[in-house]
Amino acid sequence: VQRYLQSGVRTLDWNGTEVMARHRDGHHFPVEIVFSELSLDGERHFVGFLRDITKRKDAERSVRDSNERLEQRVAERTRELREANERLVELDRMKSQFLATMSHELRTPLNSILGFTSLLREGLAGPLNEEQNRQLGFVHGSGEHLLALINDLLDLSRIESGRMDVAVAPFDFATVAAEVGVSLKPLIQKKGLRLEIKMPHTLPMVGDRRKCYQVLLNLTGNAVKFTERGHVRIDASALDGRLSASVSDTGIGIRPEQLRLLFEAFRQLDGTPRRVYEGAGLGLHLCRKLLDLMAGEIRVESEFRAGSRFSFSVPLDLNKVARAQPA
Amino acid sequence: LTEVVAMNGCVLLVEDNETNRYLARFLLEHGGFSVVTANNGLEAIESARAHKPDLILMDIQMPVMDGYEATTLLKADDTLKAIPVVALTAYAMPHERALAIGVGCAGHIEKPIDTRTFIVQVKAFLARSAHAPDADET
Repeated sequence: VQRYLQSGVRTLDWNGTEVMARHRDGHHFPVEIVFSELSLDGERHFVGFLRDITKRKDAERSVRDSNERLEQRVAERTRELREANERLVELDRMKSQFLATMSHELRTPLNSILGFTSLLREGLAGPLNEEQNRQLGFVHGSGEHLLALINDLLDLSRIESGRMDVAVAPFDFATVAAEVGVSLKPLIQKKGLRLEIKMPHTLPMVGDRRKCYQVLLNLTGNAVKFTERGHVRIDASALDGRLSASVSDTGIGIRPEQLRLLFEAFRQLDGTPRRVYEGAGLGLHLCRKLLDLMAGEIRVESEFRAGSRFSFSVPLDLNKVARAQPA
Repeated sequence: LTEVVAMNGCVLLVEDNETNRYLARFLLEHGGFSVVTANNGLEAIESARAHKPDLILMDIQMPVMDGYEATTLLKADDTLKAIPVVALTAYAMPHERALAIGVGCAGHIEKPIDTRTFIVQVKAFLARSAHAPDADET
């Protein structure tokens, strides 16, 4: 204050300066000094407040400390997440490697199961009686079923890891339907069903023929599997730049509450025993995924005990569509 | 056992799985081919030098040396490169085909092999290479 009076220079901030003070019991504690100057009857007065700010300082320190702890935790979590992400990338790579190896390992013995059974049935290793031929037919059929499942699983894993390419080439959907008819003919005849195909003689498209075939074969195969009498019918036409196709049957149908599950199964194949009915899970899931890749849609209508109708649509020309990116 | 005269030519069958080798060999011999076999790509090259087969059927995934590497080496050898190599590839592995063609295979036969069409496919590859011989062959 003396210096200020002489020089006009304030050495302390009058609005509050924190300094350490010594208590009369000898310990040090923080204080805040506030000065103010006032005129009373023409005399200059100085008022000073000395405030013990121990509690405020403690509170400030604790806020600062918890801030630091928070920042530290954020940094730790970030590092943990980064490490978890790296582990996931590595796991994904290992999963792909595992699938590639397993599919080779699974296919190799299947190769000989399918090969030797058909070789025996053709009589190349000597004549068979009728019953032996029949039983070998079961072995062969089961082997082919297993191979189809392995191929479906591989396709799914490829779609999920974004490694499934979509071909864009001209083809005729009418020939796709005809091929589906040919490949299901033995089963359809065996069950005494009728297969009706109603579509124009030619249905030119630009897209992925193999995937369209897979979808139609899957839906038609399901229809045949779940129909004991009557017919299975494939309809297809070009509508508003899209192929609009459906497979309807006079089969056992699907209960309304199961219909919902069917669509859940479309979205998620989670490994729980939540199967709508045998065999439906993987094939329909794959159909949905394949259609997603081709900017397509699928839906189902069904009446329990009366029949089902699966309808799907895909663009007639994939070149004219912004291709859906795999998830 | 039927005695079959090897009138269709000699096929080198390269396949690491013993059972599948037996199957393919059985079908080939039944189809009138004489057959020599190899367990892996390295053996295949030695066997190709020793037997000069008319056609090589090459599995892709094999230990020691895989089908890609073996075919690459066969195609780099002036005395062997004229022998057509046909890859045996899995149906669900489309990328294997492109790679096989890339290293110089004449084509592929899908596994699991179809016993009804296998011999027809092999004969078609032999006929194709006989009608369109390698330009380098003199």
